[in-house]
Amino acid sequence: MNKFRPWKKLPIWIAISAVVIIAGIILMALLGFNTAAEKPQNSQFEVKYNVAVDIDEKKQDKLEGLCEEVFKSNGLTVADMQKATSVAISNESAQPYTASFVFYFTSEVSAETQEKVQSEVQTKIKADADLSGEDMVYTVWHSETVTSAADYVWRGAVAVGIVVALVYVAIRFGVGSALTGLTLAVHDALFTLALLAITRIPVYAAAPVWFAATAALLSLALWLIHCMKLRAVKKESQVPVDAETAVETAYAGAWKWIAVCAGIVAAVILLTGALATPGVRAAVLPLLVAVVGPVYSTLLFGPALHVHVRRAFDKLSRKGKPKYVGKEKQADK
Amino acid sequence: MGKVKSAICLTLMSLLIAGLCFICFVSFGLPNGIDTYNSILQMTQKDADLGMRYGGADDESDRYLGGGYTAVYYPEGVISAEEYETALKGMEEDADKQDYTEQYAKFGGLYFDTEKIKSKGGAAYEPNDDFKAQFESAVELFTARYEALHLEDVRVSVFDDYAVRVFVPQNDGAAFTPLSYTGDFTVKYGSDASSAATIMPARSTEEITDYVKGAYWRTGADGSSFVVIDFTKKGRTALANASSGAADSSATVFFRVGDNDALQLSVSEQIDQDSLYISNSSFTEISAKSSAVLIDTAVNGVKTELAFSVKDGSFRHAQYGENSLLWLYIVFGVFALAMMVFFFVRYHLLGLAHLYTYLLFLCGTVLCVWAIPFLTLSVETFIAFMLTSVLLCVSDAVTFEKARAEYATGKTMVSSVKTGYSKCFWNLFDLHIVLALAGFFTFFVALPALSNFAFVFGLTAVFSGLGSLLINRFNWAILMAYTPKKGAFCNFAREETEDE
Repeated sequence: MNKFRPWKKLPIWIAISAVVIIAGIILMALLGFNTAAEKPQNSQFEVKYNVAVDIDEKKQDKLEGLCEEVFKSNGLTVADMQKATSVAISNESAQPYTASFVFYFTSEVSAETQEKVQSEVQTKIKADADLSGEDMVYTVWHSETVTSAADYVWRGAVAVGIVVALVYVAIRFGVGSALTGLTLAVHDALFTLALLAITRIPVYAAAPVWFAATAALLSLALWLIHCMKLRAVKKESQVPVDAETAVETAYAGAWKWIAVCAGIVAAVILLTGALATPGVRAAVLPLLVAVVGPVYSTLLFGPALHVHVRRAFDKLSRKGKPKYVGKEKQADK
Repeated sequence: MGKVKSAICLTLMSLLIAGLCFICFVSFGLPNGIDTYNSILQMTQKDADLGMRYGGADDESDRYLGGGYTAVYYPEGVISAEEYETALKGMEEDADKQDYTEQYAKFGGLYFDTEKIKSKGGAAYEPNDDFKAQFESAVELFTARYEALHLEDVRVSVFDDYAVRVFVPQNDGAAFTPLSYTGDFTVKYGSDASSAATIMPARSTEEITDYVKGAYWRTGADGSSFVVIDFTKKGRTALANASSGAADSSATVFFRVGDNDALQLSVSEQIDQDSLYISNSSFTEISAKSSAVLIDTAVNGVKTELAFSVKDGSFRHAQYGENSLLWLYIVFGVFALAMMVFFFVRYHLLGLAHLYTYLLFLCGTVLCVWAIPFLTLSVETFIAFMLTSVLLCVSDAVTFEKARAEYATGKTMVSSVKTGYSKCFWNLFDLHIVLALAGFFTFFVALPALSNFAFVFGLTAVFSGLGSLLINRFNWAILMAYTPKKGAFCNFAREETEDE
């Protein structure tokens, strides 16, 4: 059986990474990310009521159910519902209604449908003895276009964190390991962003930076497992081993740990995504993309790259050192 | 470790963990039926995406941690449909109603005062192009202002076509009013606002940027916040000249945006400096931030001629849904259960050592997120905590496995633990240091929400390192002192060798 040797296939990994990253950059430039989870353009149906005077909790449930019935009969799907409580800002006079339900719709709702829904809701309210008091409930449609969301983290921050951590890696494991680690962290951040752009997974506006940061951190952690195994190989071997043998031996001990760690992280993300509310699910589940990059790079791309990096560093370290020229030649002298 | 020492340590450790778990996680109603004892976790500030009530059955709506505030900025002459309809209903005379309906025209979801905002022309009302251009500039200005606040989860949106709606987290609602001010930035000096002389005007021949470079905020080591205004040489001279007589008669410097005061500064001596640091006892971080951002954008930002009023304030519960936090707790519960099943099945009673370590790690994290002012319980911090939880579990499992391998070769348990730890100590040490460094240095540079994620990641990586390399070993030692069958206690077995 042919043994799978990823450290011998660097051109293939470079080609795969290049294709994904370049395609991702083009899509990022042309379309950006799919920030549908942020509901960048939405219609809202607001139902205002006076919770202190007229509408108790039982009536609130009734009102909510009544609205949902009308949306369903008009073929509208509610993307989200939020409860709001009125508050006075500065010198603003008290608002006539103290609380409201806000139903969000991300698909386009025509003016006719809006009018029809509003009229049907009002008719049903009037027909309901509990809700039909004078001015007890007020309904209104709104439109919203988000111009800015929380997407202003300084992107350089992750790079600074990773570089500082890699300085430590360079001291403890060697400059070659740190250089490969740096390449992998940058690669994984870009790879994750590219995958997000290509797959068009709906995310929140701030999510791409957060995902890139997570990918870079995970990449660092997984690459460290390789570094530890490489250090162990160096310690255990009696004579200096060549780059390929070192990577091969380290890979044999590291890949299972990398797979287990990445698997647990993926399981935690899946668990959170599976059990959480839709809002949290939309924030967390796409984080699986941030696991794909580091796993690919530490299991396939990283070892292949490190063979070349280590070979170059071995060559450098041999320069200027006396070479073994053989017993006979030494004797001749 | 001797049995007596172990018993004392185990009792103390158990009491410590029980006490920490109680204050961190247990909430209950007090016997008077009115007050409630709230756990640390309950009282931890949540971010805008998550939220939870605290207190007992008599909850009031203001007993809620998390969520945030929204407010709508309406341009002068524009009102909401609700305001229009409410005003119309309140009029008794038909003539008044007719005047009102003639004065206001509906466009989009809003009503426009046709006297203040002229129509573009045509049969139906549509605001003129100049208004539209000014509104676009205003949207750009408000967006820049709220982005400059660097708040987590802030949102700015165009609402009903010609209003601006803003959402900020729970503790930052104080920014709404100051950030609504528009107009030129001027500096006045005098005893009161009405008689004060303008010393840094936006004249036709000069710009305010000839006098003022900009403004920013800083937080001091004692937690006090202040605004810093940078002057040009010309600005410094103008203020020094104006305040030259301040030692004899005190006065006030008024920093104004349009017709509103952005800041006031009482002066009792001459001010002659490039940067002015302004603070007072009522300054909070958000008020300092909003004053600095207001001044900076009034000096260097986009200009708009529209004036705005802030209305329709409302408090929104968790943006990710009312029960989102509860479900995150359930996720954690499932994870913890799976973790303990693994440890108890694979390592039998040695799982207790990990359980004690993990509980200390958990309580330490909860206490830190509660006590450190800039941290909130958010999805980001939860994920950071879960990632380092995995790190702690893997680290503990590695130490157990190393000891298991040593024990299998025939060594005593004490020797196995010692050798096992010594074999993996530096690897685990390096792993934790590297991750903590990456987390903390990212935190130093990043802004929310990444900074919170990075800080919690860095902090819990340190906790995980301490837990795995020190506390876990200590727990192991005190737990094993009692059992004569140490191998069975840990589910470790000797390698079987065949006799020749």
